[in-house]
Amino acid sequence: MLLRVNGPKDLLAGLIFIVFGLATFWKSHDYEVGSALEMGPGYFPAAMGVVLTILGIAAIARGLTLKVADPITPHKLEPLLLIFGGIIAFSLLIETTGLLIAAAVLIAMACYRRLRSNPLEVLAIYVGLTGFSAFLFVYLFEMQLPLFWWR
Amino acid sequence: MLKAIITTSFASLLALGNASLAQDYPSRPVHFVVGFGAGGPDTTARILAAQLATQTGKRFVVENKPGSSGIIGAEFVAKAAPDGYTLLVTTASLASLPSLQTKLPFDVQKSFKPISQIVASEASFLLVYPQLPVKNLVELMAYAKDPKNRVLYGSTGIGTGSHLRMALFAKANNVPMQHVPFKSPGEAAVSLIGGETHTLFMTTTQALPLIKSGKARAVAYDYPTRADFMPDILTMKEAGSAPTDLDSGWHGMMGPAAMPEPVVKWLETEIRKAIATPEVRERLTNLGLIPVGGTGEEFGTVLAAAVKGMGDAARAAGIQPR
Amino acid sequence: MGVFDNILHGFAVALTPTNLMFCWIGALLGTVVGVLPGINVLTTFAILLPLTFKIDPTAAIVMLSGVYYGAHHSLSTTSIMLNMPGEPSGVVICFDGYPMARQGRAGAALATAALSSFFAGCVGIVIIAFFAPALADASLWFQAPEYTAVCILALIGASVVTSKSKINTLGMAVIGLILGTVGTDIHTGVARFTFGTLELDEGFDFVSFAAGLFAFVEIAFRLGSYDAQVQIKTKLRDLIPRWPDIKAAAMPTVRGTALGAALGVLPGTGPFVASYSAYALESRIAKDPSRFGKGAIEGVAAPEAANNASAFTHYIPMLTLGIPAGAVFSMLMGALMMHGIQPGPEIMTKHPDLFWGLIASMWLGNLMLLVLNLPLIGVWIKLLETPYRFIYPAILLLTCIGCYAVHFRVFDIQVAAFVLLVGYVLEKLDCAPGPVIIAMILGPILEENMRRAMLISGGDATVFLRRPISAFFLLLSVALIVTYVVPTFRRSKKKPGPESLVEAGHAE
Repeated sequence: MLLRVNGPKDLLAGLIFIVFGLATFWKSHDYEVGSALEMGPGYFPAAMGVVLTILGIAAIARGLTLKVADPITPHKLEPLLLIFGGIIAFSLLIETTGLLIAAAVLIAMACYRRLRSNPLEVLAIYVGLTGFSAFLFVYLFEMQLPLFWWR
Repeated sequence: MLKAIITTSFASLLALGNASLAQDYPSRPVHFVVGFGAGGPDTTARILAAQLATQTGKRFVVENKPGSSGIIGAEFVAKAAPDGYTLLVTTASLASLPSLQTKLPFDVQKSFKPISQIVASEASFLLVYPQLPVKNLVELMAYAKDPKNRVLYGSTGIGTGSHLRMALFAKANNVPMQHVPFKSPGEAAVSLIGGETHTLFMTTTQALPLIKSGKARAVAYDYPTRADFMPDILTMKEAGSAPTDLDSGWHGMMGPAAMPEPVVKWLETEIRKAIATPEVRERLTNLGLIPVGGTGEEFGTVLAAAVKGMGDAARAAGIQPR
Repeated sequence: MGVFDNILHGFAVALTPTNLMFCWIGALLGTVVGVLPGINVLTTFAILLPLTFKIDPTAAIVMLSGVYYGAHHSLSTTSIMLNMPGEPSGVVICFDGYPMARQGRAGAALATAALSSFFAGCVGIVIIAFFAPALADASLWFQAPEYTAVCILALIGASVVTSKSKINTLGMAVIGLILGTVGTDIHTGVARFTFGTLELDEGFDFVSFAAGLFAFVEIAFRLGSYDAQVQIKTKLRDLIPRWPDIKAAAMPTVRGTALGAALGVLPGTGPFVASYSAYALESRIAKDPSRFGKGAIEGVAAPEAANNASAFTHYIPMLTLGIPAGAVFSMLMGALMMHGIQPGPEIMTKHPDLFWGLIASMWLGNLMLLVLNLPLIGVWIKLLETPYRFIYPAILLLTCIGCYAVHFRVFDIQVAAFVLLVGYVLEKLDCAPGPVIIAMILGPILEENMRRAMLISGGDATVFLRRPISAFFLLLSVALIVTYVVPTFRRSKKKPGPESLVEAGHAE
């Protein structure tokens, strides 16, 4: 159904706006809303939730009435997922195993394809970058960044 | 989670060797954790760390764990290995947490071992906007009680010293005033001298430039005796109100509750020595802090009193713990 | 004239070998701090603090100030080169600086940034030296209603930032406003949308959002694109801005400087409001606003000038009133106070050596930064010519470390990772990330001041119209909405309007 509409981008964006807007509106009633003259902590987010929902409806209307087709261009998802995974892995490792291992995992995931075609290059990138960051952040700026798991 | 496992196993390992540990403490860098960013307690911690390093030849590292009004840093230390290598440098605001937060991840008095109160806070001045038609404290109270007037007081945020102090003052004298919180002392001060808000409690160092330049008028000094650098300003009592007796600005050091006694004693002695050096005294005094460097026991008493005092003040201010 | 004697005296102080050296160290460190994500001025101050005990107060403040304005000066570098803003005001530079770099005009963008920073810095210093007390008094007219009105005007200006669909732009801005409310509400102390986590008590951190939305999304897009990667070639003659560039950047620099200097005096706004307002102003008054966001040199010059001018006029509350405009100035004041010097109105009369020495050193430091930054452009360009497969792992690692280093917690890195996912999807749906960040920064200032204004006025909404300055800004906002909405209606009557062409062209 999405694909037959001329503006699938607007349609999806509109849906995201509506879901986020309604969720915000609903959640902001956990806090005192108050009135325009005496705004509670929930007033501003609740109002913004309503505005966002309206904008979402407008976006959907636009997507449904678009004359010229404006399809979503295809993209490789592999780099996105590898980078996302690499960052998450880095965040889980930085405090437990230290920078050297966390950076190795991040760079290995970010350079996943080259790791097989040109492992030496990836190794060089790893050594250079980690050495540079260790010198700069840990040595020069004395940042509390553990290099190894024993700090 | 993995981190917690590693820390606890590390801690149990260290606990085994506790007896021998105290003699050669510190054998590696000691970390002073500060639950705030740069400035404030961080500055105190850095002054102290620099002096301790010169005086003992050991390494002392200041580590910032800012966030959540200091809760994150305090929690980190409360749950750290009690080996004396992870210590907390905190402000009196820690003592206000139990009355502001219902779900604290630690107990302010039970999870920590007080080591030393590093500095005490300077007293505050009660300032008013100079064009407000009041010359003294009695007139301020009368003005605020007049239903024709609406007096607004600024603060540096909910539950901060400047807020609690005014709430205590207002409650004790039955003065109706509207609280207007700001994010920083600077914004609260600008609002006062621009006449947007009418009155504000401000610590001495911050208040002095404003008083001297006439941008703000001091109507009282919140201390039992007058300030020798401003002998004209009456104390709260002389001016016609009870002093707030709120101790809201000290900085102190504590460690995890299970710290071995010899380590505490070592730190106590070294901190006292460090605070007694003329350079450190001078730096702290210039920042508007009063050097103390007392024992852990004394600090424990101060902490307990602060928890009670801040709790009373928070209730007076009508703060609902969340 | 006494003032000129003072200035001469100041130069005598600043030109002593020690002060000159500390000025140089500060400016150099500041440049490094401005380029590196995660290391900010405040953490650098904390590290340098013990050193300031041992040197005299003038040298101390000269060095710390050097770090501060040096960081402002070099802030634009990563925005232009890597689409990675290190500080909020860097976001604005990304809008046009990065497209310029992609077009092979990184040299021109960097040089323009350096030159307009220098110009703005010089003007800012003159303003501190001559007009500080008057401006400090004038800044007191700005109270909660005025801050509210300025934020509203700026937010409406946000709608001009991108040329994609207006609905999407507005939607993204509203998402930013909502995200900005996360954290402890300063008026009631209620924790909003924190879902019980302590980490969100103080709201989302700017660095992790900027990293996710700008740096990470850009990498995922470039690696995921099916188009062949075109290596950016920068010709040597593009290293220096050409005459048309200089001409185009001149007036925006002047306007940006004026706007930045004025907004910098207000302690309640940061440099972001200054640089962003300057950008919005330029894109409104430009003959062809559609060039903005696609590499307009004015879009680099004006915000860069505003950012630096405001960096200097931010000193005014400290020097004239003894009131710090933010945490950086609290630290600066602390460093002076430890030496027994009380910043405030008396500083000019009681410590003329320090005051005028500082002013002179600022000018020297500004010159040093220019001399340092112009040759550095060559180095940056070389770096840009490195194949992307070497660059992106570096951006990833440095940005991850940067996210961690802000609060030393892994939570911020994870936020950046999820922001990457969401930002990627939204970018694919033609929702540009700029308005989110703008609204995230402006929103809290707006809400805080709006509610404060209502609290102070006792619930009287007419306060916004009764005060002339706020009424003026609100009027301007209404005018802006009208000029924004009217062309849409007029254009929609014609068939293939120029706007839809632009939009179609934008779907990469």
